Amino acid sequence: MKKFIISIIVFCIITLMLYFSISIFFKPKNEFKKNNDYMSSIIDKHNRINQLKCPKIIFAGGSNLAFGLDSELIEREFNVPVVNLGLHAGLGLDFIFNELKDVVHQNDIVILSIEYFLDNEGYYDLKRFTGSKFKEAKLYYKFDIRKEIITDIDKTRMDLKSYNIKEIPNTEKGIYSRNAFNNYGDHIAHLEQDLPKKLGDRGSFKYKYWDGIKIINDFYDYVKFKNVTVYFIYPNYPKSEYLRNNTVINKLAIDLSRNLNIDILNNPSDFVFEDSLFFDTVYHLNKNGRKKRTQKLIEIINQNQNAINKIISIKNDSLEKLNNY
Amino acid sequence: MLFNSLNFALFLPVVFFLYWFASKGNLRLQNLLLLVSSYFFYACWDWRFMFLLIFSTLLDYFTGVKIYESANQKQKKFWLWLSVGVNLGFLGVFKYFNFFADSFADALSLIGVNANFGTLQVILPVGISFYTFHGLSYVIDIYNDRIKPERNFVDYSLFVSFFPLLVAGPIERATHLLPQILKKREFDYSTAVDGLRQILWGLFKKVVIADNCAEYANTIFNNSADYSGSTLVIGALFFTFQIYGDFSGYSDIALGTARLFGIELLRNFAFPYFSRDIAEFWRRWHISLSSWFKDYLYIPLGGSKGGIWMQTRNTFIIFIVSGFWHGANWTFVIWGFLNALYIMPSIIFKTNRKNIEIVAKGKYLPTIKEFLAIVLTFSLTVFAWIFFRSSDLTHAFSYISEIFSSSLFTIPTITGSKDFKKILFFFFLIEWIGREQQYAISKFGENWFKPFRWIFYLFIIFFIFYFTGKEQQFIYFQF
Repeated sequence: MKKFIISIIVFCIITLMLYFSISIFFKPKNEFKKNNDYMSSIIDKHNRINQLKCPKIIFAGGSNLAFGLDSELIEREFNVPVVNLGLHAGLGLDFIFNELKDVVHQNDIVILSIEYFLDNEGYYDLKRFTGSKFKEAKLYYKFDIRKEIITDIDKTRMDLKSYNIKEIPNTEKGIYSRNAFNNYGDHIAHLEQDLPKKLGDRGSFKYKYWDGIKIINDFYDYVKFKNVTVYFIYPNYPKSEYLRNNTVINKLAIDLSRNLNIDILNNPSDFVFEDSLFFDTVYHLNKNGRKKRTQKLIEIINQNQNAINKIISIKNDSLEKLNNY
Repeated sequence: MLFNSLNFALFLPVVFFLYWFASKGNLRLQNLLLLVSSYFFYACWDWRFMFLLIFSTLLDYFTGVKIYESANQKQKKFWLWLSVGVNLGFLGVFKYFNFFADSFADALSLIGVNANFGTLQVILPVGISFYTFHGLSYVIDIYNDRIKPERNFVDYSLFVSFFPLLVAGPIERATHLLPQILKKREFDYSTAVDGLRQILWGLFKKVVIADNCAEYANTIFNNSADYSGSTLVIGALFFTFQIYGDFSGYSDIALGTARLFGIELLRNFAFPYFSRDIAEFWRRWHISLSSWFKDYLYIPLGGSKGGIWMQTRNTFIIFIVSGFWHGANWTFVIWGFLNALYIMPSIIFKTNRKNIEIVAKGKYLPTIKEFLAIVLTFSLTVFAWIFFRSSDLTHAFSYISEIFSSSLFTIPTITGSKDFKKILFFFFLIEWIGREQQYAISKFGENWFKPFRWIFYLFIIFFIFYFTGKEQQFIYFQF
């Protein structure tokens, strides 16, 4: 036994020494030192929210909103300030709702558009990265020492791998950068780009009762005392994928209609568009798709008397404060 | 708690330390510690299903005793069927209820009746297919007077719940595992080192081979309509390596872990892709399940005693049931049916026990005939895996029809990175060299100077570190 334990300890020490040598000597070729990457756009989104001291419409969810919404058009249509918080589904539901709890104010309208079956946790490394760019974001997820270690190991691996990549993609200028967004928080750099040949993130869903229902209801319970109104809309989705996942999405829709304590403004099929209206993934619309979805959303809101009444009720307050501002 | 997680990397040394040091060789304490650790391990998945596991354990423990104590055959039968019925009932509710409800509604819709039976909002308890089969084999063996019931509840529970095998097997037999649980275990240096080596190789198979293959296979299978026939063939090949790396990797980690505690589990894989016919493949793939079905279904059904027709019928039954065991989807049933079809020639011509030993034993290379037989068997297996991996039958048929189109002769658009292809070649080479052993690196470099052997292990660790793919759940956890 003694021999076994000593061998294990010696072997582990050698392994750890090799690991730390790699992490010390192989520094990354491309480090996101400046806050110009895609996730840093969270800073601008929060700046806009903080500047607006009046009731507003906040869109929250993943990148289906970032790529698929013309907030300026919605703001003009309803005369209420709009902020698009949609950034990345990989942040997970907990992060998205903690962020929302942090920014919503009295009388705001929150419209949730969440990717199908999005999980609570998301990717820890992405959350940590976002937290490193925008310190408030550190409060939106739980610090986990185990995941910190795994993220550090992953980072060391990526740093080492970067020595094997000839061309490092430029994250400061391209489509996935902070500059790709407009003042409202919409991603616009992709609008004039050529369409990639294939849509990413295609796949089949497996039906399960979505945990998100409870999280949304909890969030609503938390904000309803501030007179915040929360609506749910289904995300945009390509026709081919919708046909493939039709049964599962319909089951989800039944669960949502039965169990969500907030109003659902549309049906899943309302935002199902031809594949040609998508950009690079199943949730990212292109220029025409974005236009179509925004118009459809305006139409849907206009048809919902409750939503319209709520918007009218905050409009005057908003305009007054906005003019003062 | 996944075997390839940091949690397990912390859990295992703690249990190992307590087992060998804190228990001071006391067998009662060691078994109790392993049982508590196993329950903790299981509760990490979802503590609510602990009750189901404990209930299933209690049921089989008491019915086992009752069967043994029954005065007559009628009573014995009652207790046996109570256990079988309740165990399969749980399996049916948790695993198959939604499948049967949906299939029945679909069948009714064909004759114009719209029916909706509703579905259950339940999560499949991890490992239920495995521990149910553990328990069933135990009560059936008592019924058939092969074993006596175990009176010590802790020892029996440990047989059902021993953490290395709890969630994805191997499916153990009471005749094999219980005697080891009851026997005093001494620490053995070479067994423990062998266990660690097997864990290392299992991790390599899972993290490097399976998880990287999974990324390519998922991309191709999830977007199959976008790819040419040639790329779809590559996708099927990636899945073939993924499922082998995933499940045999898991089994290696399970066997290696058990060895650290002085327990030998049943071997589950024996280089199945080097098989020369399908019968040999099924003696080398998921061995503990194949032999379970043979002993508890095929033989009770009459096996091969009733002539060729009975043997054919029984073969189809066990393969279809085996397919269904994997999941509530018609794709698994067709996969089982296909394998039954494949094995038929060797049953009809009585050549199913022709290839018992590993191919090219004691030689470097196989003969041309052996090589062609391996290629043919491998191709048939790859074809069947398409059904296993597809989301439904429509997906599987469209995938296959695209393969058998003119686009098969185009250049594939996804072939894997250069580095990964090198790793796959390294993996194949090591597996070929080590094919006569329990697992590929079992005796690799055993005569080398120790530092050189350690360098080899460090290289494997480096590969695991460098090539770690996107973390994927073990495939067999969903069964």
